[in-house]
Amino acid sequence: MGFSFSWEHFLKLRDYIYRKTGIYLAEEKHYNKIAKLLEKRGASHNLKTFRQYFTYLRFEDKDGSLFQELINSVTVNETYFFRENYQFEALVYQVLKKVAKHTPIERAIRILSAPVSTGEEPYSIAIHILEEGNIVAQRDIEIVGIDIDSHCIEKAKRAVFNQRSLHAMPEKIVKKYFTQRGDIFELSRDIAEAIHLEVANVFDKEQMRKLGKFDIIFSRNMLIYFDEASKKEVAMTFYDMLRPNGFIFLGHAEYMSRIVSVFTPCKFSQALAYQKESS
Amino acid sequence: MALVNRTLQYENNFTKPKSARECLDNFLQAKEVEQKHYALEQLQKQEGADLVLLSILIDGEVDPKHTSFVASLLAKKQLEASVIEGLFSLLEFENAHIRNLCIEILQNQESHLEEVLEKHLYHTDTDVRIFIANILGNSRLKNAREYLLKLLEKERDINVCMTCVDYLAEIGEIEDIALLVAVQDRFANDFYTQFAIKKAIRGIEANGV
Repeated sequence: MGFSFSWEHFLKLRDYIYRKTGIYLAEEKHYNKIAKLLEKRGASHNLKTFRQYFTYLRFEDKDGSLFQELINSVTVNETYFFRENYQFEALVYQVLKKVAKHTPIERAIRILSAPVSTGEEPYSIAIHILEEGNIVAQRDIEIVGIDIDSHCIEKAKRAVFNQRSLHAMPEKIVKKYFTQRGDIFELSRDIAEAIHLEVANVFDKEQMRKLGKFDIIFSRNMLIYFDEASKKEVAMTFYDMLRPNGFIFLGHAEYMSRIVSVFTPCKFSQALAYQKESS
Repeated sequence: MALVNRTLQYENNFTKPKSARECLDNFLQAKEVEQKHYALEQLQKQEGADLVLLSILIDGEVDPKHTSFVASLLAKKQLEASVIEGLFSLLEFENAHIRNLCIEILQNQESHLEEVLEKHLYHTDTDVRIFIANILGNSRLKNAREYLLKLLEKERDINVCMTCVDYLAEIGEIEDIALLVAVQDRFANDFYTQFAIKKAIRGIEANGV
């Protein structure tokens, strides 16, 4: 004990987080989570008071690691299958149909997932596409997943998951696409091998260019951790990677219009996507 | 038809330019957006590039997607005073898109921002003073608070004052409360000012000592 964190401190931090990210922390549980984090961080960074912590966060956290940790403490940063499922629904029932309309039949529709973490996102996309069935029956679809962390990519390629990763998926889908071995679930190799996964850094423009052009980009809960300049840089890299009329999906607490003004927001039922203009 | 996993071999076939002039020519002549952006990306690696990139913002006729790209390049760099001076002059531009890009670039500057900002702190245009308060409020400049206080001390425009107050709520210190109370008196009949300053004082007090 030793780090005093009052409700007023929480309100100050809440205003700051809201200004920087658009995330509004309304619940008391957030207070408790942040209080715990600050106690820990106070000890490790020798920050003895809230004032010292806040000054460090505001002026000295140059690599953004303290801020990232703060946001991690109040957001669900675990990845699991079918997370924010309404976006995948929008993808297969609305967005892919739109993209298919203006894409020549002989050309594959390309989807990028960045970052893939341990693979739950690109595999969720693949399962949704297979479940919808119609578009993939008519044309090729290519899914590419990237992550800066090679361990994540290795794990994603293994495509072996625990129960926790699968908790949001209907049981019949789990049975259809996974083989259970004790406590672990192996994704069908047909699906795992249909996804191209590789280590890549979104800040490396040359590396990103080599991935080619995409019709749809999923980049959920990554930009939120970047500083303003980096957010802008990556948003413009994604802009260049999208084909004309292409779409980008962000996490529910991320707003492209706060970053750059070159995309048009499009609402698909519950989901919000951002579209690049036609050429 | 199926889910396909191709061997990806997308090679960049753009030609690598050798000088800032050549990069700029490539940017101006390229037809495709990505070719233009590639030219800008190569341009930023050349000597004296920042002033050339600034000139693209000054042009006023360049498509917003290209100016956004230029801004994304400049925002990541610590710029020379002459470039920062140029960005400040763009705060007077009619074009809101360019102005916003300049604010975003400037708030990421540290090395030479102060020396240029000093000169513009009491700019005659109230809008520019608001933009300066925004830059200060979002920057990591150690003296950001001092500049906001300087601005607030002399300021008579309510909108500029309120912008400063909003940021002082975040980075102000206990000793700044006296000035905030004085500003409260300065705009005694304005309901929002009273509310905003009370909130700012609460924010500062939350900091403790």
